[in-house]
Amino acid sequence: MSASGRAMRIAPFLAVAASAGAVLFALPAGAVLAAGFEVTASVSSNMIGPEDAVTLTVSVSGGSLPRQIAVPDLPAMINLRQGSGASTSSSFRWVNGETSATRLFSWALLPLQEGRAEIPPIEVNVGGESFRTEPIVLQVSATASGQSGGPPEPGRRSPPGSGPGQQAGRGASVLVRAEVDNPHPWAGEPFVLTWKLLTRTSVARVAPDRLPAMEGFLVEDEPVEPSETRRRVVENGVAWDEYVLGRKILTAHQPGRRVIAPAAFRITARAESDNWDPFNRLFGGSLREIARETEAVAVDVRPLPAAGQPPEFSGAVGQFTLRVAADRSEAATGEAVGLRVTVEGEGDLRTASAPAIGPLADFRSWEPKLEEKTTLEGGKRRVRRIWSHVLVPLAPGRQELPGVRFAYFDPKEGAYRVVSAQPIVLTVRRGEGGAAEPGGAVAVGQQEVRAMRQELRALKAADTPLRSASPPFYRSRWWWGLLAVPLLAPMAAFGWSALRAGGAAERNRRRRARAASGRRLKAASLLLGSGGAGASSDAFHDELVGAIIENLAERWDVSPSGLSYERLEEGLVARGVAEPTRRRILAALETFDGARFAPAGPGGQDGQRHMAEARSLVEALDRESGNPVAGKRPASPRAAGGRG
Amino acid sequence: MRTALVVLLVGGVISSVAMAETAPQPEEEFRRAVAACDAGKYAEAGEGFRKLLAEGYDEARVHYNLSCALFRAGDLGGAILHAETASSLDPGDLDTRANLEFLRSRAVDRDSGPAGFSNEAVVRIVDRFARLLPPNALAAGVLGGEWIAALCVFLALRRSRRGQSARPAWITGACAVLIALVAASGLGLVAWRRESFQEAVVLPEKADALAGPGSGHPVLFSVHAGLKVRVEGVREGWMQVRLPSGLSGWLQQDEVGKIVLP
Repeated sequence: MSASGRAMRIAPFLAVAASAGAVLFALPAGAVLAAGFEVTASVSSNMIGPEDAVTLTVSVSGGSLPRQIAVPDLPAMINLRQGSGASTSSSFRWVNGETSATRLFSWALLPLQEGRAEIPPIEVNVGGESFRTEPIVLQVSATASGQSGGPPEPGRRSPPGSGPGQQAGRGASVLVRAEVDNPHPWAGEPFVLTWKLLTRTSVARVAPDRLPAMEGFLVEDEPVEPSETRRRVVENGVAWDEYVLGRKILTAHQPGRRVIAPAAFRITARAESDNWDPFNRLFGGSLREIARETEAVAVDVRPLPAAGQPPEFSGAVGQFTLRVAADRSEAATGEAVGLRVTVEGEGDLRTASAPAIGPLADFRSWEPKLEEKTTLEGGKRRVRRIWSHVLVPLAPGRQELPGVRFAYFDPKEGAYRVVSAQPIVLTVRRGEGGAAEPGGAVAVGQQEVRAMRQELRALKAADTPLRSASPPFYRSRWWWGLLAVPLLAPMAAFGWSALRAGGAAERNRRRRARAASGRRLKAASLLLGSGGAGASSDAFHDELVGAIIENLAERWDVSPSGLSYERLEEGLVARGVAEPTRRRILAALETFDGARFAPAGPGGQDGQRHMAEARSLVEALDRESGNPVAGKRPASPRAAGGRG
Repeated sequence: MRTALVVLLVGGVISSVAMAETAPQPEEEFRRAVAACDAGKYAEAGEGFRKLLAEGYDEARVHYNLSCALFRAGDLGGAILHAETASSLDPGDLDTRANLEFLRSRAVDRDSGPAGFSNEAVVRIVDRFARLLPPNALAAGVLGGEWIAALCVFLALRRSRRGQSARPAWITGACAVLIALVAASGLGLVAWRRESFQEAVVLPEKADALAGPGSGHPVLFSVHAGLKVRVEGVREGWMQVRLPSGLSGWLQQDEVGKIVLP
């Protein structure tokens, strides 16, 4: 075997070994491995064209990552600038019980010119530790266009100041442009900024990445559907599909030079080389996202000329017409009349003030109600403003609303214009009470008069004498008294009726007692008055005893036959009769009982004395034998037997 | 001596009669202030109405007119203060309510209503009802309802005892009880608010509420003219106020006008 033959045989093994070594030992460019974290930086391609975007990805991976990892700052790069980013994504894997997490930070970078480009080490802070990636070197070359990693780049950015036709020969197939329809607008004149997409390949999706702030402009968006704006344009012999990505109507009210910053878009388009591949054309081919950016657009805003400016210039810039109409030609005093002043046209009325309707001495007027309608279509800004005045005529007769004038600046002519409306004559008759007639109003009627009466009401008059504000009635004692009466009255009535019922029985008993003792004493008096002739002492003293006993029996509501001396004493004690009176009663009863059997009649001195004693005792009983002492009411004398 | 006393007495009577004739009547002062306001002399009108208030004529229409004059003079806080006072004195007056609504619409801070009643629907309904009527009308409603109810009960019992139909009396009595209860709820709410809280209005166009009673404390929030607040305490020229939203802070005493009610 010759040496060359051996070399031929071992060559495949050497190639395999070299490949295995490369696979085993090769790490991604810029890999840093420390403290359990792996930090790497990589780019989507190391060879790019001057119009290509390259994606820079910084990856942080490890068993477990801190919750917060700050987005790394990109260092100053050589021949590269940041297009967009950073976007962040995270992933988590669990394989055979081992977990790993990865956090990715991505930027889109754009080359500045052909030649060598370099990304210096990127410092990444993970969990309080600082890591630095390895530098990455790229080559920017026109020959590399469309060859960068994966599918070829479908097009290139439009270089500033160049048209799409100029780039066709260099392979650019997707461009974005910013255009203004008037680079020298007047202050207050609306102009249109349009972002367009020009493409020679299929575009799947366009998304704005960064839009300028447009400071110094009033901006209005005109909705545009890109698919509906497609048109075919040919520039320098090259055919392009043109789409409108966005349209804004801008108005600058301050003169001077202003620059509209570039707008960046992300475009998903088919790779250019695929367009000629029948298989790819049939199945859609490979798509690639590319970044494109418009150029900055300078606008020179011209000041409105001072010369020739009418005194009633309102600030409106554009071309307008004026209409003034009243909703009636006849009205009564006090009746609301609607006056509509309409300015309509193409331009900007946002800063325009209401056209003056002149001094109206014989009318009462309010601030007009403003309606505005703006239509943006085809890059034109059509606007209509209506000032609705409500006027109330104060004096009858022929009233003239003076003509209205409206001044504006016409940017096409570069001069001020004044439009005017004829005076309106109103026939005013004397109204009744100043009220508007029902059903007479049309566009603006009495309802609007009410709505506009956002004013203080009239002052109060001194039609009644002034006085101090009194404290509320609920604080007064009278109020509480009156409040309590209906609540307490039923209780008082009930108590009164109960009390009255009890008192009546007592009074009846006293009355009966007095009547009974009175009868007996009268009888005794008759016996005594007869001088003893035919009268027995027994009968006389029986009347005296009866006068006392029946008096007590009636008072106590018991039977007289049941009142023995013991029961009498118990009863007198229980009813609070004083002891001397008790002794006198008992002594008198014993005396009267004993005197019954005296042989002499009642006509003597004893009879007079006994009579007086009996009267005195009955009076004493009236005074003292009132209320029973609680708990000491004697047992019924009927049950206890008679007086012995 | 006797002659001198008589001369002094007669002289005193004459001078007092003369003074009574020359001193302007309050109605005349009121009319003068109204005329000043109509003539656009709002400061003069305001002084006139303030003088009447100081003399004790603190009824609702004086506060109402003073509120109008102050608004015309550019004092929104003072205007709302006196409109609130007029509204508390005479809640049923439509002019006062309209003016108060108008003035509140001019205020920067929006009043979210009485604090503490935001979630209780029933209380809010009663509160709205109570704000329509003056306290005396509510008190009269309570008394009238109660007395009529008591009378109806008496008549119903009497007719029942006599074997006559008592149904109309019972129905009337129930209605009267209902009226008395509703009026009592409203009156209770009015009295509770009136007796428990001191309300006030922010006077200057803007005032900073501090964390404590002293200019060295940090600013917690800002309030603007016309905002109604509750006074929670006063200390050394500073007033602690609570907003309807629940925020609490200290304002200088002259930045706040109390709603003073009799």
